[in-house]
Amino acid sequence: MANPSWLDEFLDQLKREELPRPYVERLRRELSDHLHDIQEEKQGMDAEMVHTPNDRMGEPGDLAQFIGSEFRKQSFSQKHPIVTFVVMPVLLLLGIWAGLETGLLLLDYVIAVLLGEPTGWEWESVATGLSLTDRLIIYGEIWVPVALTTVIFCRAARRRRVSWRWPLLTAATLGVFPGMTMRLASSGDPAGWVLLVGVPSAITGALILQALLPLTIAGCYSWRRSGLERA
Amino acid sequence: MSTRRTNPPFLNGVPELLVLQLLARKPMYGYELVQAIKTTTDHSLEFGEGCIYPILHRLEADRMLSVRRETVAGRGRVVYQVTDKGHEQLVTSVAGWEEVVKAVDRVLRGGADDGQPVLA
Repeated sequence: MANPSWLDEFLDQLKREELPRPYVERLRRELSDHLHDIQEEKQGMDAEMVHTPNDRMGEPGDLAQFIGSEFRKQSFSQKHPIVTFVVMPVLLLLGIWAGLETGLLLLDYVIAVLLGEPTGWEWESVATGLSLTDRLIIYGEIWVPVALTTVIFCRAARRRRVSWRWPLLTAATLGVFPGMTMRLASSGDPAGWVLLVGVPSAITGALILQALLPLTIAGCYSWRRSGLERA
Repeated sequence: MSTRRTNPPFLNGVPELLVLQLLARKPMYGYELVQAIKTTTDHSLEFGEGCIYPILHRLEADRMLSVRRETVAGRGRVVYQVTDKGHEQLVTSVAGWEEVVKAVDRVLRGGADDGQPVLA
């Protein structure tokens, strides 16, 4: 039987690298077979010529780290970080917004049908004055997808062990574009509000908050990660 | 307890060259390949044997190696062989390596005799 202690220690260290399970299983099988061959080779040797698995295979922790870094070199995010951390977050955010708006409109339609109310889209209702709750819901529709997209890419950066600068670049991209392009603004009527998409003509407090939200999330992730790395 | 570095930094690119060269001669599985490296280099290159697997897997992901699975004495075994792309890479890597060796050799012998840098 292959040396279980070396293999167990190696697999234990490999867990920290967060590699996909099928790849870990493949490594386990190949290394176990390799250890088998070493043991068969040992049987015909003098005692002083017999080496420990550490001598032959390498120190489990070092090998696990090396395997993790080699695996990550093959990942899309390592080969194309600009696409992964700049282009893809924008596309994902636009997709989430589109999906969310479509979902809410469909929900509105279904509720109207169930209640027997007219089913025409009432865009003008947005401009007829909003309660604080309505405004919070609309800001939520804008901000929650921004926050969600930032968290997704911060987690991806942590798993792929890319530099902390990449999630910050994602956050900066989401803060400026398209985070600041979608906003709730006064329609001119004191009681009216409209949802605008486009480059803002003036910077408001809400827009600054919208830009700071992803930067704050990514900053917290980077700070936490640097703390964990120091520990 | 003895510890061995998995892959010394000065050997960057060399394991890939050795792996492709040896597998181009004959398809082999991991343990067999490690023994072939040791025998061919007369045990001059010391490395942790486990580090051969991520290198093999990366070359496989880059389509320079292909694998076939065999069962020997009830044990599953992965045999690696060089693909056409791997053969092309081997030719390039050998040429690059020979250029580096010539360049280092010139430096060791006192510098380039024509005064031109050997490496771009």
